[in-house]
Amino acid sequence: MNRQMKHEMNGQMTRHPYILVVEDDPDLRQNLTDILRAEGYVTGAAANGREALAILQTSERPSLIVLDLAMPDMNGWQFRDKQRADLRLIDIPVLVVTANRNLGPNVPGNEVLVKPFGLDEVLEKVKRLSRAQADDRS
Amino acid sequence: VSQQPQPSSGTDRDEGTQILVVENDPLVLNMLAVLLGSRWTVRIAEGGDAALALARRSTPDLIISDVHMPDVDGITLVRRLRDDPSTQNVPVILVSSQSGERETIAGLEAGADDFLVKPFSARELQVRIQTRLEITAMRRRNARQEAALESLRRHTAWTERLLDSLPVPLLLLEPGQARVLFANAASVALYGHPLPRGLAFDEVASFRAPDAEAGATISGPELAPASADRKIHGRRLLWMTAGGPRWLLADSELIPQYDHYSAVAVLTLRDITELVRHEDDLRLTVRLRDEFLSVASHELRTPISTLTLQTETLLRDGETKPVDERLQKKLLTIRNQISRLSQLVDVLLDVSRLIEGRLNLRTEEVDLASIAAEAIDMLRESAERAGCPIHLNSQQAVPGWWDRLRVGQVVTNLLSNAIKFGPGQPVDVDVETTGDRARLRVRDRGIGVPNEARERIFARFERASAHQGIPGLGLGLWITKQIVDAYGGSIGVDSQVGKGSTFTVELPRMP
Repeated sequence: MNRQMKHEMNGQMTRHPYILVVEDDPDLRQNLTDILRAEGYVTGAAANGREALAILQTSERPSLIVLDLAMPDMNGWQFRDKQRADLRLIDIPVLVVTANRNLGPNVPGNEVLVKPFGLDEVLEKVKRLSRAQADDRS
Repeated sequence: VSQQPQPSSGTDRDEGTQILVVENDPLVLNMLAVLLGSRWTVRIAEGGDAALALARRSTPDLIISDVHMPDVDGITLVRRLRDDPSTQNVPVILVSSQSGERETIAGLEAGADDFLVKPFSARELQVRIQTRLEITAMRRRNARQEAALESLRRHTAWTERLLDSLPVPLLLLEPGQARVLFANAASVALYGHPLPRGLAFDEVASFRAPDAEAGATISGPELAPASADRKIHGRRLLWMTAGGPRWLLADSELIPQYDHYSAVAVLTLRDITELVRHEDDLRLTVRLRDEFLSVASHELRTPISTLTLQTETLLRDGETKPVDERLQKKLLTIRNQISRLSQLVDVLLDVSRLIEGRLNLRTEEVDLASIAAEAIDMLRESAERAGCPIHLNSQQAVPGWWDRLRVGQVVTNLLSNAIKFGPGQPVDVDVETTGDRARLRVRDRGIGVPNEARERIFARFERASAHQGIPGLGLGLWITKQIVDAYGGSIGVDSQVGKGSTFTVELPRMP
């Protein structure tokens, strides 16, 4: 928290990227948001695709969506279909989280995190994708 | 009696036919001998006793005897001949000089076949003999045929009794027509209805192909081949019996016509209903197990992710904050164990994927030598812990078209085994190009693979050393072989128990 606040204090110019974590497993969801917050990201969390869509209607636009594929109610694939159909959401980068190592070219996102993954891997990919988004916009 | 033989009567000589002439008058005897001898082989006897003795020694084809003789007369001779089994069927013609109904009747009653009264012409005698011989021959032929038929009937009955004693349902069918010639007891019992002889098989029995072959009806003639190349072997059928559908393993054989036996199609129908049921159960069990493997390995990934992240976060905190050394050490152990758990889950997932046949190879041009070097690097730490220096021997790049990760897995699996089964000993890795193939050799100096296990170790859940307390699921080599097979390569092991093993993998370099 301190770190995050410090960053915010440092300057209004560099807004801290907002990351939306969509993961049905509560522990892993908590885990991911904790890690990202510790790195200074602002996070939102949803337990499935439907919740994520609801959040996206009201919240600010995220720099990155971390998206689990296998979820109840609305899974990651279905969420991606909705996202692609919405012009306001279509270009938000997506980091797919999956237990399937063999998705190959069918990955419904910009990059994949294959479970189980380590801390460094998450941080590296989140950083790269959220910054790419920021660079695109500047 | 005419003295001269008629020239017309001397047609074909038949020396194989023996005629015994019995006559006590030497003149008449001589005359008859000359007359009959022109055509048949003649033996003579001057009285009934002599005739009996001769006839018993060698059965004649016909006896012609005078009725009036001093010792044993003709009628007595006939009676004695008829009483003796060896002569009872010899045809006898009696000759009498006086006509008398009583004598004729007495002679015929005694068993004579014909009666001639003197005087008679030579021609008449010859015709009477000829007729009598022909009748006898005909009777003999009939008797032989009757005996053959009887023998055939007995053989058939015997064969059918044998076939009835078989526990395997068996049918004899008319080839090409599939009319039932015989159905053994086991087939009738299985069918639950009679299978009457002569009925077309299609009318009494209904066979179906398995569902896999669209469940088409199978006609009788298909089961009763008319030619040897139409025989069926181990064909699975469904038979609609009185007791419900039964699974059968059908075999047919064609036995061509032979001697008195006509051609038959032999159809055996082994009841495998129970086996098929077990097979289905087994298949379901295997499928459930594989599904479980797949689901379990997927489901395990999320908690492992959480564990990994938590542990790594704690370890990272330890880098910046003062922490309890003991706690830090325990965290490292936890992280190592999570990593092991994660690898095991990978193996399980590989297995379920390989079973489903989706290896999803990402083939690109790679270098086997550098893949091997990377694999060795990755295992360096555990190899050092096990006291196994790994030597890589590769002169130059070994390029080929493969999936980097999967081929890396091949090297890693073989190396892990080498370390696991040969602790404290060096491991040699050779990588080379041999024509259009690449060869990888991993040599350890470990416990070795016994001869009988050399094929088995590449099977799923098989281990050569299950009893030796070395942990593992028995999947590594199976996965390795699946990857090698997917590229059309080969894998084999050369080993001496107690001395070590050399695993050799060959992969085609071009897809």
